[in-house]
Amino acid sequence: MVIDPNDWEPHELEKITRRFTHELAKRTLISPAQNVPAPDMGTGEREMSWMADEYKRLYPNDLNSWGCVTGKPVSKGGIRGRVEATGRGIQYALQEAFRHPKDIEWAGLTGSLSGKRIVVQGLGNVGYHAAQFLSQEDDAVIVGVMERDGAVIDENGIDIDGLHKHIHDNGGVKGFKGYTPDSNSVLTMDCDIFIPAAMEGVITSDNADQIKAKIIAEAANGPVTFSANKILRDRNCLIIPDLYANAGGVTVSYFEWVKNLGHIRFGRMQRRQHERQTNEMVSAIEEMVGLPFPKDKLAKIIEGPTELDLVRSGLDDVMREGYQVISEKWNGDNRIPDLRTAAMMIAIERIRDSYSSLGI
Amino acid sequence: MSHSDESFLSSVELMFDQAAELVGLPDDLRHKIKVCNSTYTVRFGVRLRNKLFTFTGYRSVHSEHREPVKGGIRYSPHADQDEVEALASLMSLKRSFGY
Repeated sequence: MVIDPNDWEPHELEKITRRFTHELAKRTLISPAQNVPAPDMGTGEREMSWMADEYKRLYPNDLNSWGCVTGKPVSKGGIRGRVEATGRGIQYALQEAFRHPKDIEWAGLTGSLSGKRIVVQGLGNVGYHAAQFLSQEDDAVIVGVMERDGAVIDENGIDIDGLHKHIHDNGGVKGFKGYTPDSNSVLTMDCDIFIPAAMEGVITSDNADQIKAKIIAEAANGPVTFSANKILRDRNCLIIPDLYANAGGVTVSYFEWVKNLGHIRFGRMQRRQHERQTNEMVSAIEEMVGLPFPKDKLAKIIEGPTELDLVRSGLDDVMREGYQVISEKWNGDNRIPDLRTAAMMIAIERIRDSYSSLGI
Repeated sequence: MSHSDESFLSSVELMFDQAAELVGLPDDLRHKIKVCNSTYTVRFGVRLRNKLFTFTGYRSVHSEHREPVKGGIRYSPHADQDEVEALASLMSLKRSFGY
């Protein structure tokens, strides 16, 4: 929708969003069976719960009405792990890339994510979570963050949580340790991985040859133009393309939709059964070997999976498999210039196959 | 954005063409898959601050090869039909991965 959300008060945005939902519903442009929207730039859990609520008002008899939209808050039929899903997906995509040493070496890197220097453009929902997970869990170092009003540089690693709070409280990065008003200096600074997480068309032929990153993980949709893509590819910059890299959001949205249709939380039926069975197994092992099970491992092993565990497992599986398929395609045919082309080819082949199975 | 570079939608379409060429799709099928199947424009009025404001929204579906179709709701002063169609195309290609 053509609207600047900052121009409106929350109660006005609610009215507009509900009216918009009404207009979409009249034309079946929102429906649990056919068309399921989700958040994007400028919208989030709040807007999704307004949309779901409005849809429910219109179709109170539709058993699946919660499934008309995804990205809802957990209290309104959402799923745990959805908010951070796209950022989490970026982390999983990069982890899987680093399990492919040949690809990483092609880009001029070696080893693991640990110690890799990362620059993030845009510390919104996606950029924040990606930066947070990569620095906290993979020991990568976030050396630069670009935002609308400037940038932050810190070679020792930026405190992402602190910066995120600072932006929330002050409306920008100004005043934070390492602040510079010149955000371009971060775009072109020396780093291993660049994560564009703002908007489309930010890397063009004007700035592509100044970008020093060896890997670009496209958290935003369409951040690299067609011309810039060629320039980067020619100097062995490994671009992990948007249509794969940021698929974490839609993947967990799908899990949320399945949860809504199932009317039950993932793991509800199995969790305690898993715990009981594992406890039995542990006591059988103790009986057989005559030794107590190591206490420090016991709790982790017995614990049954929560909804969040299952969402992460499902997302990790999708991201790993996606990279493997794309990388195999790229490496297996030297006519294919990059991962993006390989990913698009796979997608096109799958759409073609679904057409041909219909006889079109 | 640089004026010399392709727009978002043409970037996606050029990348698509390059891939479709390598897949060996015939031209007619390539064209059919490339275009968005439908794009609706809705214009609606909301009375706010004692005035009637007209808002414009788009909902574009690139393909229904997997249903339900999925796609984001973007609130942006710069949103337009081309942007929505580029996002729809990427989303439909994206849905070929996983689950």
